[in-house]
Amino acid sequence: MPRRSIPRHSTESAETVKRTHPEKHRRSKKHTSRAKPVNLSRRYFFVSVATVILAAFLTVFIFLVAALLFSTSEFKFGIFSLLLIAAMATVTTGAFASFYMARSLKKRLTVLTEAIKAMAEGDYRTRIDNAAIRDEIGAVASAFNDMADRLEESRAQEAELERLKRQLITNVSHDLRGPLTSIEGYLAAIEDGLATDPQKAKQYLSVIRNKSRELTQLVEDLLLYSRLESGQYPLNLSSVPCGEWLRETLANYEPDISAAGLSIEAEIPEQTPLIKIDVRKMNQVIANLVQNTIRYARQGTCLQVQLQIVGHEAVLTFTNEGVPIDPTDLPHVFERFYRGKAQNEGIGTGLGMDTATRGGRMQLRSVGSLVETPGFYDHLSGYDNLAIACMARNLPARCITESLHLTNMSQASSKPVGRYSMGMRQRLGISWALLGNPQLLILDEPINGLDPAGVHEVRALLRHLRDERGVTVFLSSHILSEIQQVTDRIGIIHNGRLVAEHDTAGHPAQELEDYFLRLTEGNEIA
Amino acid sequence: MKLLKALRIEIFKMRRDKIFWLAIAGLLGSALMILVMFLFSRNDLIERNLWNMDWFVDQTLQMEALLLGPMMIAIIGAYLVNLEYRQKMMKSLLPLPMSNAAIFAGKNIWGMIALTIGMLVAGIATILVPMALGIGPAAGSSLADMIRLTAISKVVLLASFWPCLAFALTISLISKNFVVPLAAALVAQVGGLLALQGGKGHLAWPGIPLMIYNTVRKGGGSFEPLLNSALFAVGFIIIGILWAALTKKPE
Repeated sequence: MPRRSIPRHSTESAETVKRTHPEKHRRSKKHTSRAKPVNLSRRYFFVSVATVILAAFLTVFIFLVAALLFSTSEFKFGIFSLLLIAAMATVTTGAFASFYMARSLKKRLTVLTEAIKAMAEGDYRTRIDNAAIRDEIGAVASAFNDMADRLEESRAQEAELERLKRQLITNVSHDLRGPLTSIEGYLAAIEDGLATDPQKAKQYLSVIRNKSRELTQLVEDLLLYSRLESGQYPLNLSSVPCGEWLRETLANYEPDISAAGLSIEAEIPEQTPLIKIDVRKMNQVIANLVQNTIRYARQGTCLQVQLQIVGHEAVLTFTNEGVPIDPTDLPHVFERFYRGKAQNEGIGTGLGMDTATRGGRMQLRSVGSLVETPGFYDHLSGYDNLAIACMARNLPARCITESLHLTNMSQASSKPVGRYSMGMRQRLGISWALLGNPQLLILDEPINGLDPAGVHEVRALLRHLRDERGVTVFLSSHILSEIQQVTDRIGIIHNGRLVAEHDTAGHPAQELEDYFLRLTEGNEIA
Repeated sequence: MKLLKALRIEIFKMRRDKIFWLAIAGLLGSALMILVMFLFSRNDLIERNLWNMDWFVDQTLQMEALLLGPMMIAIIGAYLVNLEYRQKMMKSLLPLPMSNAAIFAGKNIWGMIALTIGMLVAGIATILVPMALGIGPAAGSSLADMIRLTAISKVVLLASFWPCLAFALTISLISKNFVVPLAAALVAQVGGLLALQGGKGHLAWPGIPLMIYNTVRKGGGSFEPLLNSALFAVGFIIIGILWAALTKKPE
C-alpha cells in the first residue's frame, strides 16, 4: 500500500502519527489502554498552580536567605537584584508553562485528527505513537490504536487466507506436474524397451508406484479441501479397542521412522477400553503427526507416544524434539493452509493439522506459570508490570489488556502495585501467567493469603479458563478442600514422588484429606 | 538486541522509581551545600579575595568528588539490583527469556546513563547558582573558562565513578542485603582516601574520584588514573557478567 505523506512536526509532541508494520508498532508501544485516565484539565491546573507556587517559594527563600546573611547596606542592592530575578523567573516560568501546555495540547489533537483522517482514507497502518500518557487524549489515542490493530489484523487475516489459497493452487499444480512427468518418463522408457532385464523393469515400476502414491495423496488433499469448504466432513464412528488400534497403527510407521534416523517409544496401557473413533480419519491424524515428526524432528531423537485414559476421554500425547516452533506461529498451527516459517520450503498443503482437530480436540501446549507469592515492582502499576513481561517476551501490548480483562483487573491496572491487596496481587500474578494465551497454566498456591471473596474470584476464574478457553490448569496446593472444588483430577506428590493419581469427582473433601493422610503416613504407598 | 531489550526494560521500570531519581538528584546537593557555605562565609571570602565563581565551582566539584558523588553512586549501584531482591522480582524476572548477563549489563548501562543525566544537571546548577547570585568569574578568568572547566571535570568525575558503580552492582549480585554493596562501595572509597592520606597510595582503590579529579585537573592533565579506573570498572563488569551468566535460570 502506498504511504500517504502527512505533515511532520518539527519538534517532539506527545503523540506522533506513525506508519510502521503493525507488529513492530505493537512492540514499540508497550502500554496503551488505561482503565482510569487522569483528568486533563485537573492536570494542567495543577501544573499551573505548581509553577506559580514554586516560583513564589523560590522568591521568598532567596529573599529570606539574603535578608539573614547580608548587612543592611549590601542588602539594598541585593534585594532589588533578587526581587528582579525572582519576578523574571516567575513570569518566564509561567509563560513557558502556559505556552508548553497549549502547544502540547494542540499538537496532540492535530496528530489525532491526522491519524483519523488517514484511517478514513483507508490507510490502516496508521498508528499514534506514544499513546501511554494517562489522560483523556491518551485514552482516545490508545483506543484508536487498539481499533487500528484489530482492523489491521482482520484485513491481514483475510489477505493471508486469500494468499494461502492461491499458494495452495500453485503448490498443488507444481506438485502434480513433478510426479506426472516422472511417471510419463518411466512409462516411455518401458515402452521403448529400455527396461531390458526384469530387475530394471521392477525398479521402474517401483518408481511409478511411489509417484502414483504421491499423486493420490495430493488428490486426497484436494478432495479434503473441497469437503472442508463445503462443510461436509462426516465422521464414521465405530468402537475399537484404543490400545490395540494405536499399537497396530504405530507399527506401520516404524520402518519410516527408523529410516529417518529416529526412534519411537510408545507408552500404552495393557488394558484399554473401547473408544468411538473414525478409524480412517484417526489413521490420517496419526499419519500427519508422524509425517511432521519425520520432517522436523532432530536426527537421533525419539518420538514419544503416550496413551492415557482420563475419565471418559482418551488422551494421546505425541512428543518430539525438533526445531522449536516460532512463538508467532503457535496460535496458527491448527489453522487451515497455515505453514510455519520454518516449514515453507517443503511440499505440503497446510491442511494436515487442521483436519487433525476435527471431531476431537488437539492442543499444542504453550505454558504459563505463577510462582507462589509472585513479586512485582511496587512503584509501577499493574499494567506496567505486565508490560515488562511483554517486552521481554516480545508479545504485543494487546495481550496485557486481554489478560487483565480475563482476571477482572482492568479497573485496578493503573494503580501502583504497592497499593494492591493480597488478592489483587495474586490475580495480577495470574494475569502475568496468562500473557500470550498459554494452553497449559501452572499455578503454585494461587489462593494463598486470599480472603473468601478473593478465593471465590480465583476459583471462578480457573473454571472460566478451563471451560471457556480450554486452558489446562495445573494447580499445586496444600489446601485440599480447594483442590477438591476446582480440579477434575488430582495427583499426590510425597517426598518428590507422584504416589497417587485419581479423579476428584464424587469425593467429598474430608475423604480426600483422610486419603492424603493415609498415603503420606505410608499406609497405602506400595 | 538482547542487551537493548534489557536496557529498555531497565529504563521502563526505573523511570518512576522515586528513590532512584532522588539519588540522582542528590548529585545536586554539592552545589546547594557549597551555596550555603558560601553565603555564611561571605565576609571572610571577600577578605581573602575568594568571592568569585572560580572558587565556587572548584569547591562544588571537590565536594562532589569527595562526598556526595561516591555516596550517591554507591546508593545507585546497590539499589539497582537490590530492587529486584526487595520486591521478590528475581523469581519473576529470571524465567523471562532474557539472559542473566544481559540483565546485568543492562543495569550497568542504565546506571551510567542515569549518572550522566544527573551529572549534566548538577553541572548546569554549578554554573547557574553563582550566576543567579550575581557572582562573576575571578580576574583573568571568564564564564567560558568556567563552563569548560566544569564540563571537563564532570567527564572526569563520571569516569571515576564508573568503577564504584560496577563494584556495587557486582557485589549486590552476591549479597541480597542492600547494606552490603553500599558499605563495600563506600569502604573502598573512604579506605582509599585514608590510604592516600597515610602515604600508602599504592594500596588505594584506583577509582577514587577526588584523587582522579585532582590529578587530572591540577596535576598537569595526566590521564593515567582515569585509565586505571576504567580498567577496574571493566574488570568488575566482566566479573559481574560471568557471575550472572553462571547463575542458573529457574525452569
